[in-house]
Amino acid sequence: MGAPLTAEQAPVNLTIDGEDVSVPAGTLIIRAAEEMGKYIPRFCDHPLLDPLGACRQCLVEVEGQRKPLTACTTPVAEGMVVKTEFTSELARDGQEGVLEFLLINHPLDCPMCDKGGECPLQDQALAYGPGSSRYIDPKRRFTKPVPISPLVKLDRERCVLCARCTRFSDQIAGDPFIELFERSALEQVAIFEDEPYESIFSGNVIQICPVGALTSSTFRFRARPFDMASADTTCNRCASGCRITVQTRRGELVRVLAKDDHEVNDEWICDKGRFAHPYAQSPERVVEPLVRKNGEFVAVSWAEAVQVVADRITAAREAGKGSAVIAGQQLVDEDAYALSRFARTVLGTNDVDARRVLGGEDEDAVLAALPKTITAANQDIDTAKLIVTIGVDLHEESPIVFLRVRKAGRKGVPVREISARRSAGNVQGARWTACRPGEEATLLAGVARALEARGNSGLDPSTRAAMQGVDPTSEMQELAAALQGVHGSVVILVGERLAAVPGALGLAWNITKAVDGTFGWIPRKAGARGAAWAGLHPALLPGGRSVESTDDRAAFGEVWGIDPPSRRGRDARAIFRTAPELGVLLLAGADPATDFADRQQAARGLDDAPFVVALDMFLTESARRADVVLPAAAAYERNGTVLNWEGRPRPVKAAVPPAGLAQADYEILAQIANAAGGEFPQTLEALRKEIKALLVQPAAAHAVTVGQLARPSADGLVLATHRPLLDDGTMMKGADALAQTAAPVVVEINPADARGLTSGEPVVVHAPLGEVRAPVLVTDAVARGVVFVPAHAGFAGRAGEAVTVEKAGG
Amino acid sequence: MERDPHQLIEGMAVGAYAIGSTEMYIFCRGEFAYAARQLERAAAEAYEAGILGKNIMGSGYDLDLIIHRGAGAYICGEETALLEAIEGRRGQPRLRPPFPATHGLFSKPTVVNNVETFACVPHIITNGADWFKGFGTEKSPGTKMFCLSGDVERPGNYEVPFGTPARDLIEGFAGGVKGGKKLKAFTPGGASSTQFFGPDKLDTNMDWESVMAAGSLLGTGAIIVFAEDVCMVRAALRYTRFYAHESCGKCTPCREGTYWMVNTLERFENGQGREEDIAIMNDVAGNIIGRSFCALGDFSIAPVTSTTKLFADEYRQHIAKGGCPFDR
Ligand code: SF4
Ligand code: SF4
Ligand code: FES
Repeated sequence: MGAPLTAEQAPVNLTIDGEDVSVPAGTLIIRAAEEMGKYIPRFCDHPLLDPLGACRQCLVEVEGQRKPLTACTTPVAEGMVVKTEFTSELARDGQEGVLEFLLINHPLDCPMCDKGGECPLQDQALAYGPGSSRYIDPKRRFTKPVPISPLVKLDRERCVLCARCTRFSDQIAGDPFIELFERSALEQVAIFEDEPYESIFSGNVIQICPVGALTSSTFRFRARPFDMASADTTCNRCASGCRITVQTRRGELVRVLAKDDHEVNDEWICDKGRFAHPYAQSPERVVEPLVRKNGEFVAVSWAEAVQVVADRITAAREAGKGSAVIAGQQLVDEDAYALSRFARTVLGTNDVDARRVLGGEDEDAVLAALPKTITAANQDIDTAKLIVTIGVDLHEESPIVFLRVRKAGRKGVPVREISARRSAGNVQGARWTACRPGEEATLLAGVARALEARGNSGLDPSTRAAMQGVDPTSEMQELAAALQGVHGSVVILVGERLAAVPGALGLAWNITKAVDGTFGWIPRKAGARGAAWAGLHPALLPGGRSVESTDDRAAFGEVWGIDPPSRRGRDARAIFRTAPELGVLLLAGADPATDFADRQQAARGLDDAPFVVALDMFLTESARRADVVLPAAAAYERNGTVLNWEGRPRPVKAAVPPAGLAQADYEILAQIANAAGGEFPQTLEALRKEIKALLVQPAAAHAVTVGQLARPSADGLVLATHRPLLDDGTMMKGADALAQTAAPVVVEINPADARGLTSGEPVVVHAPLGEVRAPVLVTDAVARGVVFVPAHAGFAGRAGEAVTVEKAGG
Repeated sequence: MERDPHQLIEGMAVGAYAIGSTEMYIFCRGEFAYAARQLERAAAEAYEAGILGKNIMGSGYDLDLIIHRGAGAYICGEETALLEAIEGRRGQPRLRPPFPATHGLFSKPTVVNNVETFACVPHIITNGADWFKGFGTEKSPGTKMFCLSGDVERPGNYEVPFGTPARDLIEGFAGGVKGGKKLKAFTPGGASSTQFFGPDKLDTNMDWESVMAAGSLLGTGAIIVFAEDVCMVRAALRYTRFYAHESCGKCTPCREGTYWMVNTLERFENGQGREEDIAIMNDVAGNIIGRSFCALGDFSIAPVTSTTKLFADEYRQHIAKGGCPFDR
């Protein structure tokens, strides 16, 4: 842009096949050719991996050089004259020779190889190879295929030894246990005997393998590329917001691929996004509207089901009974908006909540500010000089954001992790600051205080009030020094669980502002940012507007035709508590009986509510307790938009029609609204028009009110918990091979707290609301004074609660 | 390394001092266990004597020597593969640039030289450069170790001035072809000599420029002698097998090309060679040279190209006889 070009970026002029081209210094010939639309054949080259120069397929002639050079390793130079296979005999001869070499040991597997039809080797051979082979001796043989993980199968005979898979694992994912072994024609990809290949990114090696050497155990022999339909859409399994291509064969979902998007997911996705699609076509899907009659669910027509619900809504309204909405966080934005509008205009209530863990007043303030504020984007991670994560395990909770942070770490950017349990993700230069759950607010208050002592004058009054009485430890001092040192170039990424510690989220927000950094909120679920935007919250309306502000409410008169209710609604906890008095309790994609912080209370609330309607794909713990279950479409079955963690709108596009009679949530809501006698937008376009009218232009951050800080955690052991990427959730249904790659449930404890426990022995953890039994792992990846139990362990403990651990008897 | 390891250590130490380095490595091929033990012993003696270690002879200069034993890969003679191996990775050559002189071992500037080069240093320092230049020719000054092996009476290493005629080495020092047989061929510079020499080249002076003028390379100075009754196809097969076995596997031409040549040569030995195989092998060789990642691939073709050029009739005899004519 306006900045002067550095030597690195200064353009270099050269010709390729006689055409002039000008590219930044340092560009490789192969990339310069791409700029001109010329594709130099390659196998080992991959733009996101370090150059290797191993396959030699990309040979080109460079004037003045005796030998042909590899285009994928040779940077351009001023005045260079490059000739590719189109104009150079030498280049063409070189490439043909290499191709012939690659084929001598390549099996004649094409008819039964998954790669057939999308294989660069096949294409290359077809385009340039001779019809028959001069090579008549035996080919190299290996046992095949061999599984290298439950998801990935390796065929060494087909491998062209390009080292893309091994470089991906080493350079991109940081999972080293796949390597090249042996040498000569016996060189082969392999895994170690004593170290399994464990990676949540393993599917990418299948996708970038240029031949059919790595195939997926789930897709093998299922379809040919030309026999599939593809839809480009967005993954909804976490807030990273990866672009994916969903492929179907005769209506059956068979494969998900990463789609290139260099601003978000580069060319990668995680294994959950890739392999966890079978749920959508599970036989357990609810495919018809169900209404409870005499205690049993009975399948009914949409007309009947909608009428039953509408009648209850009308009756409740007439009886002056309140209704309430509990939303999930996987809705697409249009559904979230429709739901928020439905609650306000049809049910007439602000009793709406999409949160699973409830925070303090600072959480309300941050959620209100998100739609109006410029927050962190992936590009901020790319250019940051310091990255701090607080209360989030990116590797498990937003894997592609993790890869971006890892990429920054590989460049030498310091990465600081503040959490109760050190992430398993392997980031070069990462430093971990252990913090017991519940103490994050105190830690941040100390950092704020140390910042002020270092002359930072950007802290707001509520932060300065909150930090009084906290004496910064040396750790806090040091963090403050790091933050102050990179003023303006820091990215602070916080997890949603920080909200459960009153004051912490607000402090993180205000500290970010004080050091002129960018703040990123990394919720666990794909629809969380959209839910926040839509106002699926008792105090918020779409666009972060406040229910209590007359000015804010005024925006809706024109769009909705009615004013939203003006009293702050009740949050999820209060809704469950007062369930017996509710008219209608509507669940949309929510399963609070499984994942609400106090799920026992949620289950009781659902049991006690007189009438529960659930929009869902499955008969979950919660839907089972409903009176009416309305089948909702899966993400692969509908169109829409999702805001990823950055707040970037990502398009969602249907790959298959909805299962059975399922419909998109907004369509269901529109029909109920119609039947209950209200005006309601009927189409996606109509919803989008309203959303557009309510959009707010994001601006620079304002400080938020921090409020009362969380009390420090109890002495003794406290619980830390979150869900790993691969859990036992509803949306893992049917993904058996993927589930086999999930880590087993273990209770983790620091050696200082182990008191005689040894790794592997069964223990029982007692929490106020329940207990869990599992083997223990004694590890210094968990903070002292902390017991970590993964959230899917089937256990009702909450982070920050006092717990005890003892040997399991018997 | 085996008999006089100290001259090597001394030469390296002088080199290290000259460039201000404080760390030295000797990478010793895994097979050379005796040499490695000798070096370890010599290094211990040098430490003992205060010639290595902290504050050498009161100079304030520290210097350490690490003897690193390889795991037996020929490719680790390639300087960047050697560096990779010392760093604990697979011995495969690195992309250059950056060159070792700027980004070498552990990304530090590094000088990589042959044992022979360092071993000359103490003598040059002691006697002066002019003394050293007094040996050899103008373009190839000094002395050279020639390793004579194969069908000679007295195989061994002989240090002579550059420019000594091959005849003096083979017939003089090494006592001539074994058993008084006639000479069929010899390599001027080891298996990697780009061209093997026949008896007509016996009077070639063994220095860089003369060997090159005669159509080959002096390489390592390993003179391997073949007597009249040696099968050159089998010799080519043995060499090519060696290269195929030692190919690091990284790049396609070397990995697959050597494999292909070995299979073809084996067929000749088994009596299934075809006339067209001679041309195909040369074509395969042409697709390796200049296209592989490092010099190992480039040199791997020499046995095939040399023998098919000089001894094409032996290949044809294999075809005609349906097997090896030298088999008794
Ligand atoms: S398995 Fe595939 S990606 Fe890996 S080295 Fe072989 S061809 Fe390349
Ligand atoms: S990182 Fe998140 S968005 Fe990307 S593929 Fe995985 S689950 Fe989907
Ligand atoms: S693509 Fe250039 S060497 Fe492989």
